[in-house]
Amino acid sequence: MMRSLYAELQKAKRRHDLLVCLLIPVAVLAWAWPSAPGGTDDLTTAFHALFCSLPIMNTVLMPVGTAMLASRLWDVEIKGNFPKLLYTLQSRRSLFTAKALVGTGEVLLITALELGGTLTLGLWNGYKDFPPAEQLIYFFVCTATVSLMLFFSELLLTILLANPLPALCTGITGALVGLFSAFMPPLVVYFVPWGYYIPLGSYILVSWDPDTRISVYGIKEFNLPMLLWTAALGLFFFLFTWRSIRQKEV
Amino acid sequence: MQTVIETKDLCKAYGKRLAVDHIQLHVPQGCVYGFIGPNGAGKSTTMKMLLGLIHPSAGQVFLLGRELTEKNRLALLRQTGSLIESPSGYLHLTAQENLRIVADLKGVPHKDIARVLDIVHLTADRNRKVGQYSLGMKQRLGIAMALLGDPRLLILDEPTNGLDPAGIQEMRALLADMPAATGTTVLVSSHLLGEMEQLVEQVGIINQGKMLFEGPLRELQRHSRGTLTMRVLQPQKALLVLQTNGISVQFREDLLTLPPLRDDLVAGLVQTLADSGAGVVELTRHTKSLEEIFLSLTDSKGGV
Amino acid sequence: MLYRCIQAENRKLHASPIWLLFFLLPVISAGYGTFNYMQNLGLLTESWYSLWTQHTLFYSLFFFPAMVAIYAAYLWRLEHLGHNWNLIMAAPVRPLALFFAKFVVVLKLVLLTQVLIFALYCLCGKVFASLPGWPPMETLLFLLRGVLGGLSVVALQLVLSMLIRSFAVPVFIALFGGITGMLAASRGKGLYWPYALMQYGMNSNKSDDLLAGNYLPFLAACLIWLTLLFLLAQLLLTRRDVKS
Repeated sequence: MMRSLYAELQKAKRRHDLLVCLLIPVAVLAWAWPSAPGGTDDLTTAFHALFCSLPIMNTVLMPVGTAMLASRLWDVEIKGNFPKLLYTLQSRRSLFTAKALVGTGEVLLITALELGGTLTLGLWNGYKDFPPAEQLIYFFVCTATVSLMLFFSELLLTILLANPLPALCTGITGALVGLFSAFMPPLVVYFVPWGYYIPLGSYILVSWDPDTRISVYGIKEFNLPMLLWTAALGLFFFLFTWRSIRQKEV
Repeated sequence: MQTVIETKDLCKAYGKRLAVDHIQLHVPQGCVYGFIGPNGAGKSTTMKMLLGLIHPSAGQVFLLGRELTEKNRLALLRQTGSLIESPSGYLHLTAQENLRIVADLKGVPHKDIARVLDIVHLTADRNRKVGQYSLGMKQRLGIAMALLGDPRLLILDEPTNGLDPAGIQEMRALLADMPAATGTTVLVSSHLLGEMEQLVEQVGIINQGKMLFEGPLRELQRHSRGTLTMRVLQPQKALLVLQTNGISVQFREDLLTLPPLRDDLVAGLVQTLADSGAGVVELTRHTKSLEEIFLSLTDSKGGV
Repeated sequence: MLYRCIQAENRKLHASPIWLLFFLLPVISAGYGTFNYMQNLGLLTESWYSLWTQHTLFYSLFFFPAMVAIYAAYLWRLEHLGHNWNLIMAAPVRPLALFFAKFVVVLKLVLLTQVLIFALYCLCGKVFASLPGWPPMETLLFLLRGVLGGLSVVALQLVLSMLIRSFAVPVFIALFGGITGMLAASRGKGLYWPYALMQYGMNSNKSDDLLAGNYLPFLAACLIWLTLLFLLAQLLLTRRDVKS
């Protein structure tokens, strides 16, 4: 097993994987920073505002971002014409485990960087409502779970069709639908996995007065059933991907 | 002699078409076995099934004396080196780095990399990215990957593809020496019959998924006995003897042409002719080239 | 010569799953736009104009660049795979003609997408929203301006996909580019940033015209960016060695 993981890491050489991983949190922060409250805005609810907008940014960026990670992970084998040799050297299980571990690591890294960057941004701007630890943990777990679920769904597509195109097309379409689902009646959201970041977010906009331009933010209860459902969906994609690797003929 | 590869009624169906149709393969230990057939005959499909890359529709595969199952597949394949169709290689990595990955996965020490690089003459180019390699160099890298860790069995699918004439010659020399040098058994496929004739001891001939012939090359050549031409001092005497022995013969420009005959018959015939005073001065046997044999095999689809 | 290049590129697109994306994005965009418009009739009072913003907002902000990026990445991937680079660079055509052919093919897809968007806009407006009359001529102009602004995005993505052998990375960069374009536009700096030009042209976030009476700087920005990107492409194609 360690052997497969080590081989997987060797393949990453000169592929600038770390740079690619950085690109995603950088994109989130480049978006969040200019739109975050600052200066004359009310700093007592600024973190609320920031954490309220992050799920929407994730919904736009992460479906494409995870598609990028997933397709790169498998595309290296397709381009190198490698699966047929690999399958004679290592079990499909260890190949899959190595890929899954690297991908999971990447997603966790991205989520951590995104969260860390957001907190830095808030502290830099002097926000006064630093979120409690349980909120930070909840945000991290939710974001990582949804991203992992999307990652495995896209890895599945890339492996099944041996081509990065479908995963990316799905990513883009998913981001669009996910973004729309945020503005649809609440029930719709449950049918759009790409937008799960939004219903899972605990920071919400309670009211917005168009005349005074004052926003009131609140914190809603953790949506644990939804989180469980997301994890179950992720597990389903994980097992399905494993099955398709096992059965794929080369 | 132990059989290193054996298949029993191996079949692979794609839809209704049988790409591999009840193949019985027997590769004895310590030989170079030539797996010969035209493009699309089912060679690659058979070889992929030997490696467990695709699942047989029916039949069994035995490698190194054990039946190939999903469980022992990797243990068996660790002792096997393979190159199927076009060579593999991560384009963004160097040859050395590619070999390191394969060596790690095979559990072979890294010092073996220098050895295989040397065998395929890529030592000077080992630090170039594989993306910049020519087809022939990629092919040689693929062979280096197969050779890593001194496998007991090598399965090579058209290994001379893309190599220049010198490379083909080297490859032949390398493969021909393998059984003697390391005891490795080699299964090599080709659609070029000429290059096989100088290399292999055992052959299997496959066409349209069916095995037409399997056995030692010598036997194939014996099966392929051609006509005999004979020059004698007294043609009329010879003709008489031959006709009384019931052998149809043609006489043209003092040469007698006899149909293909078994060796013992020929020996007896020469004796009788000499006794009759016909005076045999020259006897030549025309052997069909492997190409001709192959054409006659594939044409009739029947036995030899 | 150029015509043959374009023909060749066109043929590469045949039977490619890209066509699905080409239909899907505008249809989803229109479906959502119409729905949102119907839900917010109280806020959105300018009938055809309001419907226009709802139909095209997210499309021109985020997904137009990403869609163009997929087209561009797909066309270049065909060359990156195998030894096709050698093949095309050895073909008796000037390297820039090759780039231009890809540009034309992507542009053709963009034009078709725009037409589809307009058709869906009219259809939804008449059938679902039952708006009076026909859409204002201005929206056609917006579409045309969107294409003009989109030209630099097409060229930029083609350059990126030519340089980056990965299929996915340029696509993500395009999505990110759309966001930076949005941010640049919201600060009034859109003309300095190619990703913002398309959004300016489409005029999809406000019902009053972003470019009213101000066409010259916009056209100049489109032209300058396009020229710069083509020069860059020419430079890259002639100075760099073929790697395949």
